[in-house]
Amino acid sequence: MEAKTFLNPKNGAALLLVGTIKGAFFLSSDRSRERWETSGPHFPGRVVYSVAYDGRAGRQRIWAASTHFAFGTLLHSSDDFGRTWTNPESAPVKFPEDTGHSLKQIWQIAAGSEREPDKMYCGVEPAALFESNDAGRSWSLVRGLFDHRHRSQWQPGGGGLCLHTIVPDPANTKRLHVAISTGGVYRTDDGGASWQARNQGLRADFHPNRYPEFGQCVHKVARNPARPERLYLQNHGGLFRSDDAGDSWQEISSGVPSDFGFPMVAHPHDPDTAYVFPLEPEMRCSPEGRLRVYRTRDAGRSWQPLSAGFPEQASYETVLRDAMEADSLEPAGIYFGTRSGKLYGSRDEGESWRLILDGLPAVTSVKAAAL
Amino acid sequence: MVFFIPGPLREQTGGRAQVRIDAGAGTLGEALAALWREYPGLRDRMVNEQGEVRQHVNIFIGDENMRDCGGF
Repeated sequence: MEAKTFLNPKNGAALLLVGTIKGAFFLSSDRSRERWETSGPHFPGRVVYSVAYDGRAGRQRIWAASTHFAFGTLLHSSDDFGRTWTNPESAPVKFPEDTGHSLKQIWQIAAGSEREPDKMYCGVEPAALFESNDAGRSWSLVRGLFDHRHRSQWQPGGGGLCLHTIVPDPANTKRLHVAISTGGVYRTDDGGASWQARNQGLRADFHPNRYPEFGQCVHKVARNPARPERLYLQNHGGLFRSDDAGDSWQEISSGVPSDFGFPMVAHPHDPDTAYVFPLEPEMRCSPEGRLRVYRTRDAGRSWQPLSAGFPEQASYETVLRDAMEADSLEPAGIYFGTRSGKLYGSRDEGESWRLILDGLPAVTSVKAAAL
Repeated sequence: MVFFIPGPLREQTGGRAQVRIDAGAGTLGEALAALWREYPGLRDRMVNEQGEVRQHVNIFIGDENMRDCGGF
Protein backbone atom coordinates (compact mmCIF):
# COMPACT_ATOMS: atom_id res chain seq x y z
CA MET A 1 0.00 0.00 0.00
CA GLU A 2 1.71 3.20 -1.19
CA ALA A 3 0.77 6.67 -0.07
CA LYS A 4 0.80 9.32 -2.79
CA THR A 5 3.22 11.39 -0.81
CA PHE A 6 5.23 10.56 2.27
CA LEU A 7 7.36 12.24 4.89
CA ASN A 8 11.02 11.69 5.58
CA PRO A 9 11.49 13.53 8.88
CA LYS A 10 14.87 13.82 10.55
CA ASN A 11 15.60 12.85 14.12
CA GLY A 12 14.51 15.68 16.35
CA ALA A 13 11.56 16.57 14.13
CA ALA A 14 8.04 17.26 15.33
CA LEU A 15 5.37 14.95 13.94
CA LEU A 16 1.61 15.46 13.75
CA LEU A 17 -0.78 12.62 12.96
CA VAL A 18 -4.25 13.67 11.86
CA GLY A 19 -7.10 11.19 11.49
CA THR A 20 -10.19 12.22 9.53
CA ILE A 21 -13.42 10.64 8.37
CA LYS A 22 -11.88 10.09 4.93
CA GLY A 23 -8.29 9.13 5.65
CA ALA A 24 -5.21 10.22 7.59
CA PHE A 25 -2.73 13.03 7.01
CA PHE A 26 0.72 13.37 8.57
CA LEU A 27 2.82 16.49 9.03
CA SER A 28 6.41 17.04 10.06
CA SER A 29 8.49 20.06 10.96
CA ASP A 30 11.78 20.87 12.57
CA ARG A 31 11.61 21.84 16.22
CA SER A 32 10.79 25.44 15.41
CA ARG A 33 7.41 24.12 14.20
CA GLU A 34 7.19 27.05 11.83
CA ARG A 35 6.77 25.22 8.51
CA TRP A 36 5.06 21.86 8.11
CA GLU A 37 5.31 19.29 5.34
CA THR A 38 2.18 17.25 4.72
CA SER A 39 1.58 13.74 3.47
CA GLY A 40 -1.64 11.96 2.69
CA PRO A 41 -4.31 10.97 2.37
CA HIS A 42 -3.37 7.62 3.81
CA PHE A 43 -6.28 5.12 3.65
CA PRO A 44 -8.25 7.44 1.35
CA GLY A 45 -11.98 7.14 1.80
CA ARG A 46 -11.72 5.19 5.01
CA VAL A 47 -12.68 6.50 8.43
CA VAL A 48 -9.61 6.89 10.63
CA TYR A 49 -10.84 7.38 14.20
CA SER A 50 -7.52 6.68 15.86
CA VAL A 51 -3.83 7.22 15.18
CA ALA A 52 -0.83 6.82 17.46
CA TYR A 53 2.94 7.05 17.47
CA ASP A 54 5.21 4.53 19.18
CA GLY A 55 8.74 5.82 19.64
CA ARG A 56 9.74 3.36 22.36
CA ALA A 57 12.64 0.91 22.12
CA GLY A 58 14.11 2.64 19.07
CA ARG A 59 10.93 2.30 17.01
CA GLN A 60 9.53 5.05 14.77
CA ARG A 61 6.15 3.47 14.22
CA ILE A 62 2.85 5.04 13.27
CA TRP A 63 -0.38 3.19 14.04
CA ALA A 64 -3.73 3.85 12.40
CA ALA A 65 -7.11 2.15 12.51
CA SER A 66 -9.06 2.32 9.26
CA THR A 67 -12.72 1.52 8.80
CA HIS A 68 -14.08 0.75 5.36
CA PHE A 69 -17.86 1.16 5.20
CA ALA A 70 -18.23 -2.29 3.65
CA PHE A 71 -15.20 -4.29 4.75
CA GLY A 72 -14.82 -3.39 8.42
CA THR A 73 -12.04 -2.13 10.68
CA LEU A 74 -8.36 -2.97 10.43
CA LEU A 75 -5.34 -1.93 12.46
CA HIS A 76 -2.25 -0.94 10.47
CA SER A 77 1.29 0.13 11.29
CA SER A 78 4.04 1.81 9.33
CA ASP A 79 7.75 1.97 10.14
CA ASP A 80 8.52 4.42 7.33
CA PHE A 81 6.16 7.31 8.15
CA GLY A 82 3.34 6.03 5.99
CA ARG A 83 5.19 5.09 2.82
CA THR A 84 4.20 1.45 3.36
CA TRP A 85 1.67 -0.08 5.72
CA THR A 86 0.89 -3.46 7.10
CA ASN A 87 -2.33 -4.73 5.53
CA PRO A 88 -3.17 -7.80 7.61
CA GLU A 89 -5.07 -10.67 6.03
CA SER A 90 -6.93 -11.26 9.28
CA ALA A 91 -8.23 -8.42 11.46
CA PRO A 92 -5.68 -8.04 14.29
CA VAL A 93 -8.23 -6.72 16.76
CA LYS A 94 -11.35 -8.85 16.88
CA PHE A 95 -13.76 -10.14 19.49
CA PRO A 96 -13.55 -13.83 20.33
CA GLU A 97 -16.52 -15.69 18.87
CA ASP A 98 -17.83 -16.67 22.33
CA THR A 99 -18.43 -13.02 23.25
CA GLY A 100 -21.18 -12.64 20.65
CA HIS A 101 -19.76 -9.23 19.73
CA SER A 102 -18.17 -7.84 16.60
CA LEU A 103 -15.88 -4.83 16.22
CA LYS A 104 -17.41 -1.57 15.02
CA GLN A 105 -14.60 0.94 15.50
CA ILE A 106 -11.21 1.32 17.13
CA TRP A 107 -11.56 4.59 19.04
CA GLN A 108 -8.13 4.73 20.63
CA ILE A 109 -4.69 3.25 20.04
CA ALA A 110 -2.27 3.81 22.93
CA ALA A 111 1.32 2.82 23.60
CA GLY A 112 1.99 1.59 27.11
CA SER A 113 4.51 3.22 29.40
CA GLU A 114 8.22 3.44 28.61
CA ARG A 115 8.78 0.76 31.23
CA GLU A 116 6.85 -1.73 29.09
CA PRO A 117 8.02 -0.89 25.59
CA ASP A 118 6.15 -3.76 23.93
CA LYS A 119 2.76 -3.04 25.57
CA MET A 120 0.02 -1.58 23.38
CA TYR A 121 -3.68 -1.00 23.91
CA CYS A 122 -6.75 -0.48 21.75
CA GLY A 123 -10.06 0.89 23.01
CA VAL A 124 -12.98 -0.14 20.84
CA GLU A 125 -16.70 0.00 20.18
CA PRO A 126 -18.60 -1.87 21.55
CA ALA A 127 -16.83 -0.84 24.73
CA ALA A 128 -13.87 -3.11 25.39
CA LEU A 129 -10.12 -2.99 25.80
CA PHE A 130 -7.60 -5.03 23.81
CA GLU A 131 -3.93 -5.37 24.68
CA SER A 132 -0.77 -6.49 22.98
CA ASN A 133 2.39 -7.62 24.76
CA ASP A 134 4.51 -7.95 21.62
CA ALA A 135 4.47 -4.38 20.27
CA GLY A 136 1.27 -4.93 18.31
CA ARG A 137 1.95 -8.22 16.56
CA SER A 138 -0.87 -10.00 18.40
CA TRP A 139 -3.85 -8.74 20.38
CA SER A 140 -6.23 -10.14 22.96
CA LEU A 141 -9.38 -8.99 24.70
CA VAL A 142 -8.84 -7.83 28.30
CA ARG A 143 -11.32 -10.18 29.93
CA GLY A 144 -11.01 -8.56 33.35
CA LEU A 145 -12.82 -5.50 32.03
CA PHE A 146 -15.04 -7.29 29.52
CA ASP A 147 -16.43 -9.50 32.29
CA HIS A 148 -17.04 -6.57 34.67
CA ARG A 149 -20.40 -6.78 36.43
CA HIS A 150 -21.23 -3.23 35.33
CA ARG A 151 -20.81 -3.87 31.62
CA SER A 152 -24.40 -4.89 30.88
CA GLN A 153 -25.54 -1.53 32.33
CA TRP A 154 -23.24 0.69 30.28
CA GLN A 155 -25.25 2.70 27.74
CA PRO A 156 -24.21 4.11 24.38
CA GLY A 157 -23.47 7.82 24.24
CA GLY A 158 -24.04 9.90 21.13
CA GLY A 159 -21.09 8.30 19.37
CA GLY A 160 -21.93 4.74 20.37
CA LEU A 161 -20.92 2.58 23.34
CA CYS A 162 -17.20 2.99 23.16
CA LEU A 163 -14.04 2.78 25.20
CA HIS A 164 -12.47 5.96 23.88
CA THR A 165 -9.70 6.84 26.33
CA ILE A 166 -6.71 4.85 27.59
CA VAL A 167 -4.37 6.47 30.11
CA PRO A 168 -1.30 4.43 31.07
CA ASP A 169 0.60 5.40 34.21
CA PRO A 170 4.28 6.17 33.50
CA ALA A 171 5.26 5.30 37.06
CA ASN A 172 3.20 2.15 37.61
CA THR A 173 2.88 -0.51 34.92
CA LYS A 174 0.10 -2.28 36.82
CA ARG A 175 -2.12 0.82 36.81
CA LEU A 176 -4.23 1.94 33.87
CA HIS A 177 -7.25 4.21 33.54
CA VAL A 178 -9.84 3.89 30.79
CA ALA A 179 -12.97 5.94 30.06
CA ILE A 180 -16.19 4.65 28.56
CA SER A 181 -19.20 6.54 27.22
CA THR A 182 -21.35 5.99 29.04
CA GLY A 183 -19.78 3.99 31.81
CA GLY A 184 -17.35 6.45 33.32
CA VAL A 185 -13.77 6.01 34.47
CA TYR A 186 -12.39 2.57 35.40
CA ARG A 187 -9.00 1.82 36.89
CA THR A 188 -6.97 -1.33 37.25
CA ASP A 189 -4.12 -1.64 39.75
CA ASP A 190 -3.22 -5.21 38.88
CA GLY A 191 -2.40 -5.04 35.20
CA GLY A 192 -5.96 -5.51 33.94
CA ALA A 193 -7.13 -8.50 35.98
CA SER A 194 -9.64 -6.45 38.00
CA TRP A 195 -11.19 -3.02 37.47
CA GLN A 196 -12.88 -0.54 39.77
CA ALA A 197 -15.19 2.32 38.82
CA ARG A 198 -13.48 5.60 39.75
CA ASN A 199 -16.23 8.20 39.41
CA GLN A 200 -16.65 9.62 42.91
CA GLY A 201 -17.54 13.29 42.51
CA LEU A 202 -18.31 13.12 38.76
CA ARG A 203 -21.74 14.39 37.80
CA ALA A 204 -24.26 12.58 35.63
CA ASP A 205 -26.92 15.26 35.10
CA PHE A 206 -29.09 12.88 33.07
CA HIS A 207 -29.18 10.25 35.86
CA PRO A 208 -31.73 10.18 38.73
CA ASN A 209 -28.77 9.92 41.10
CA ARG A 210 -26.53 12.79 39.99
CA TYR A 211 -23.45 11.06 41.43
CA PRO A 212 -23.83 7.36 40.57
CA GLU A 213 -21.07 4.79 41.06
CA PHE A 214 -20.80 4.48 37.26
CA GLY A 215 -22.69 5.54 34.15
CA GLN A 216 -21.18 9.01 33.71
CA CYS A 217 -20.66 10.21 30.16
CA VAL A 218 -16.97 11.01 30.48
CA HIS A 219 -15.61 12.61 27.31
CA LYS A 220 -11.86 12.66 27.92
CA VAL A 221 -9.26 12.07 30.64
CA ALA A 222 -5.70 13.39 30.53
CA ARG A 223 -2.80 12.64 32.84
CA ASN A 224 0.22 14.83 33.42
CA PRO A 225 3.28 12.61 33.06
CA ALA A 226 5.25 14.62 35.64
CA ARG A 227 2.63 14.00 38.32
CA PRO A 228 0.87 10.75 37.37
CA GLU A 229 -1.68 10.78 40.20
CA ARG A 230 -3.13 14.03 38.80
CA LEU A 231 -5.83 13.62 36.17
CA TYR A 232 -7.93 16.20 34.34
CA LEU A 233 -11.32 15.25 32.94
CA GLN A 234 -13.82 16.76 30.50
CA ASN A 235 -17.20 15.34 31.41
CA HIS A 236 -20.44 15.57 29.42
CA GLY A 237 -21.14 18.30 31.96
CA GLY A 238 -18.29 19.76 33.94
CA LEU A 239 -14.52 19.90 34.14
CA PHE A 240 -12.88 17.89 36.91
CA ARG A 241 -9.50 17.22 38.47
CA SER A 242 -8.30 14.32 40.58
CA ASP A 243 -5.12 14.45 42.65
CA ASP A 244 -5.44 10.86 43.85
CA ALA A 245 -5.46 8.86 40.61
CA GLY A 246 -9.23 9.02 40.31
CA ASP A 247 -10.21 8.02 43.84
CA SER A 248 -12.05 11.35 44.05
CA TRP A 249 -12.82 14.19 41.65
CA GLN A 250 -13.23 17.93 42.28
CA GLU A 251 -15.12 20.16 39.87
CA ILE A 252 -13.01 22.89 38.23
CA SER A 253 -15.57 24.37 35.82
CA SER A 254 -15.42 27.95 37.06
CA GLY A 255 -14.36 30.42 34.39
CA VAL A 256 -15.29 28.67 31.15
CA PRO A 257 -18.21 29.81 28.95
CA SER A 258 -19.55 26.24 28.81
CA ASP A 259 -18.71 23.19 30.87
CA PHE A 260 -19.52 20.97 27.87
CA GLY A 261 -16.80 19.92 25.47
CA PHE A 262 -14.90 16.89 24.26
CA PRO A 263 -11.10 17.19 24.53
CA MET A 264 -8.97 17.62 27.63
CA VAL A 265 -5.22 18.13 27.18
CA ALA A 266 -2.65 18.07 29.97
CA HIS A 267 0.49 20.14 29.58
CA PRO A 268 3.44 17.82 28.89
CA HIS A 269 5.58 19.25 31.70
CA ASP A 270 3.60 21.50 34.07
CA PRO A 271 1.07 19.60 36.24
CA ASP A 272 -0.93 22.79 36.87
CA THR A 273 -1.59 23.53 33.19
CA ALA A 274 -4.32 22.04 31.01
CA TYR A 275 -6.33 23.00 27.92
CA VAL A 276 -9.98 22.57 26.91
CA PHE A 277 -12.16 23.57 23.97
CA PRO A 278 -15.57 24.53 25.41
CA LEU A 279 -18.62 23.89 23.24
CA GLU A 280 -22.13 25.29 23.46
CA PRO A 281 -23.99 22.14 24.63
CA GLU A 282 -26.97 22.21 22.23
CA MET A 283 -25.25 23.34 19.03
CA ARG A 284 -21.99 21.72 20.09
CA CYS A 285 -19.95 24.51 18.53
CA SER A 286 -17.65 27.20 19.90
CA PRO A 287 -19.91 29.41 22.11
CA GLU A 288 -21.28 32.51 20.35
CA GLY A 289 -19.25 31.55 17.30
CA ARG A 290 -16.08 32.74 18.99
CA LEU A 291 -13.16 30.36 18.50
CA ARG A 292 -11.46 30.04 21.89
CA VAL A 293 -9.19 27.55 23.61
CA TYR A 294 -9.22 27.85 27.40
CA ARG A 295 -6.13 27.24 29.51
CA THR A 296 -5.62 26.91 33.23
CA ARG A 297 -2.25 27.59 34.82
CA ASP A 298 -3.41 26.87 38.37
CA ALA A 299 -4.82 23.33 38.19
CA GLY A 300 -8.32 24.48 37.25
CA ARG A 301 -8.94 27.22 39.80
CA SER A 302 -9.21 29.67 36.91
CA TRP A 303 -9.34 29.47 33.12
CA GLN A 304 -8.20 32.06 30.56
CA PRO A 305 -9.36 32.32 26.94
CA LEU A 306 -6.70 32.04 24.24
CA SER A 307 -7.57 33.48 20.85
CA ALA A 308 -4.61 35.33 19.32
CA GLY A 309 -4.51 34.30 15.69
CA PHE A 310 -8.02 32.86 15.48
CA PRO A 311 -10.51 34.31 12.96
CA GLU A 312 -12.30 37.49 13.97
CA GLN A 313 -15.47 36.48 12.15
CA ALA A 314 -17.96 33.98 13.57
CA SER A 315 -16.57 30.45 13.60
CA TYR A 316 -18.95 27.70 14.65
CA GLU A 317 -16.34 25.01 15.14
CA THR A 318 -16.45 21.61 16.82
CA VAL A 319 -13.41 19.78 18.16
CA LEU A 320 -13.88 16.09 18.93
CA ARG A 321 -12.48 14.31 21.97
CA ASP A 322 -9.26 13.04 20.39
CA ALA A 323 -8.71 16.01 18.10
CA MET A 324 -6.63 18.17 20.46
CA GLU A 325 -3.13 17.35 21.65
CA ALA A 326 0.09 18.77 23.06
CA ASP A 327 3.56 17.86 21.87
CA SER A 328 6.38 17.26 24.35
CA LEU A 329 8.68 20.07 23.22
CA GLU A 330 9.72 23.22 25.06
CA PRO A 331 7.77 25.44 24.83
CA ALA A 332 4.91 23.02 24.33
CA GLY A 333 3.01 22.98 21.07
CA ILE A 334 -0.77 22.68 21.21
CA TYR A 335 -2.80 21.50 18.20
CA PHE A 336 -6.42 20.88 17.34
CA GLY A 337 -8.45 19.83 14.33
CA THR A 338 -12.06 20.75 13.63
CA ARG A 339 -15.03 19.01 12.08
CA SER A 340 -14.83 21.63 9.33
CA GLY A 341 -11.38 20.35 8.37
CA LYS A 342 -9.09 22.97 9.82
CA LEU A 343 -5.91 22.21 11.72
CA TYR A 344 -4.72 24.92 14.11
CA GLY A 345 -1.50 24.98 16.07
CA SER A 346 0.35 27.00 18.67
CA ARG A 347 4.08 26.70 19.26
CA ASP A 348 4.08 28.88 22.36
CA GLU A 349 1.78 26.99 24.74
CA GLY A 350 -1.37 28.64 23.38
CA GLU A 351 -0.30 32.29 23.45
CA SER A 352 -0.70 32.57 19.67
CA TRP A 353 -2.27 30.35 17.03
CA ARG A 354 -2.19 29.87 13.33
CA LEU A 355 -4.00 27.83 10.74
CA ILE A 356 -1.67 25.00 9.70
CA LEU A 357 -3.99 23.23 7.23
CA ASP A 358 -7.44 23.89 5.81
CA GLY A 359 -9.68 21.82 3.57
CA LEU A 360 -9.26 18.51 5.34
CA PRO A 361 -12.15 16.09 5.81
CA ALA A 362 -13.70 16.28 9.30
CA VAL A 363 -10.91 15.72 11.82
CA THR A 364 -11.39 12.89 14.32
CA SER A 365 -7.98 12.72 15.96
CA VAL A 366 -4.74 14.67 16.32
CA LYS A 367 -1.62 13.16 17.88
CA ALA A 368 1.77 14.80 18.28
CA ALA A 369 5.23 13.32 18.77
CA ALA A 370 8.82 14.48 18.90
CA LEU A 371 11.22 12.17 17.06
CA MET B 1 -16.75 -22.88 -9.11
CA VAL B 2 -15.92 -19.36 -10.23
CA PHE B 3 -15.99 -16.39 -7.87
CA PHE B 4 -16.15 -12.89 -9.31
CA ILE B 5 -14.23 -10.57 -6.99
CA PRO B 6 -15.13 -6.86 -6.80
CA GLY B 7 -12.34 -4.32 -7.28
CA PRO B 8 -11.70 -3.31 -3.65
CA LEU B 9 -11.16 -6.96 -2.62
CA ARG B 10 -8.77 -7.88 -5.41
CA GLU B 11 -5.78 -6.84 -3.31
CA GLN B 12 -6.52 -10.06 -1.44
CA THR B 13 -6.60 -12.22 -4.59
CA GLY B 14 -3.37 -11.03 -6.16
CA GLY B 15 -5.33 -8.69 -8.42
CA ARG B 16 -7.50 -11.45 -9.90
CA ALA B 17 -11.05 -10.46 -10.85
CA GLN B 18 -12.11 -14.11 -11.16
CA VAL B 19 -10.86 -17.04 -9.14
CA ARG B 20 -11.73 -20.68 -9.73
CA ILE B 21 -12.10 -22.83 -6.63
CA ASP B 22 -12.61 -26.57 -6.64
CA ALA B 23 -15.39 -26.58 -4.06
CA GLY B 24 -17.68 -29.31 -5.37
CA ALA B 25 -21.44 -28.82 -5.36
CA GLY B 26 -22.05 -28.25 -1.66
CA THR B 27 -23.50 -25.26 0.16
CA LEU B 28 -22.51 -21.63 -0.23
CA GLY B 29 -20.89 -21.84 3.21
CA GLU B 30 -18.68 -24.70 2.04
CA ALA B 31 -17.78 -22.83 -1.13
CA LEU B 32 -16.83 -19.71 0.83
CA ALA B 33 -14.77 -21.76 3.26
CA ALA B 34 -12.83 -23.12 0.30
CA LEU B 35 -12.40 -19.61 -1.11
CA TRP B 36 -11.13 -18.32 2.23
CA ARG B 37 -8.64 -21.19 2.54
CA GLU B 38 -7.16 -20.11 -0.77
CA TYR B 39 -7.42 -16.36 -0.09
CA PRO B 40 -7.57 -15.91 3.70
CA GLY B 41 -7.58 -12.12 3.50
CA LEU B 42 -11.10 -12.18 2.08
CA ARG B 43 -12.76 -13.67 5.14
CA ASP B 44 -12.62 -10.84 7.68
CA ARG B 45 -13.49 -8.34 4.97
CA MET B 46 -16.66 -10.27 4.03
CA VAL B 47 -17.92 -11.43 7.43
CA ASN B 48 -17.58 -10.21 11.01
CA GLU B 49 -16.33 -12.13 14.05
CA GLN B 50 -19.71 -13.82 14.41
CA GLY B 51 -19.62 -15.12 10.85
CA GLU B 52 -22.31 -12.70 9.70
CA VAL B 53 -21.97 -11.22 6.24
CA ARG B 54 -21.13 -7.54 6.66
CA GLN B 55 -24.03 -5.15 6.15
CA HIS B 56 -22.78 -3.67 2.88
CA VAL B 57 -21.36 -6.87 1.42
CA ASN B 58 -23.63 -8.77 -0.96
CA ILE B 59 -22.90 -12.24 -2.26
CA PHE B 60 -24.68 -13.28 -5.43
CA ILE B 61 -25.14 -16.84 -6.66
CA GLY B 62 -25.78 -16.24 -10.31
CA ASP B 63 -28.27 -13.37 -10.19
CA GLU B 64 -29.64 -14.21 -6.76
CA ASN B 65 -28.56 -12.39 -3.60
CA MET B 66 -27.77 -15.00 -0.95
CA ARG B 67 -29.78 -12.95 1.55
CA ASP B 68 -32.90 -13.82 -0.50
CA CYS B 69 -32.22 -17.49 -0.99
CA GLY B 70 -31.49 -19.07 2.33
CA GLY B 71 -28.13 -17.59 3.36
CA PHE B 72 -25.13 -19.87 3.74
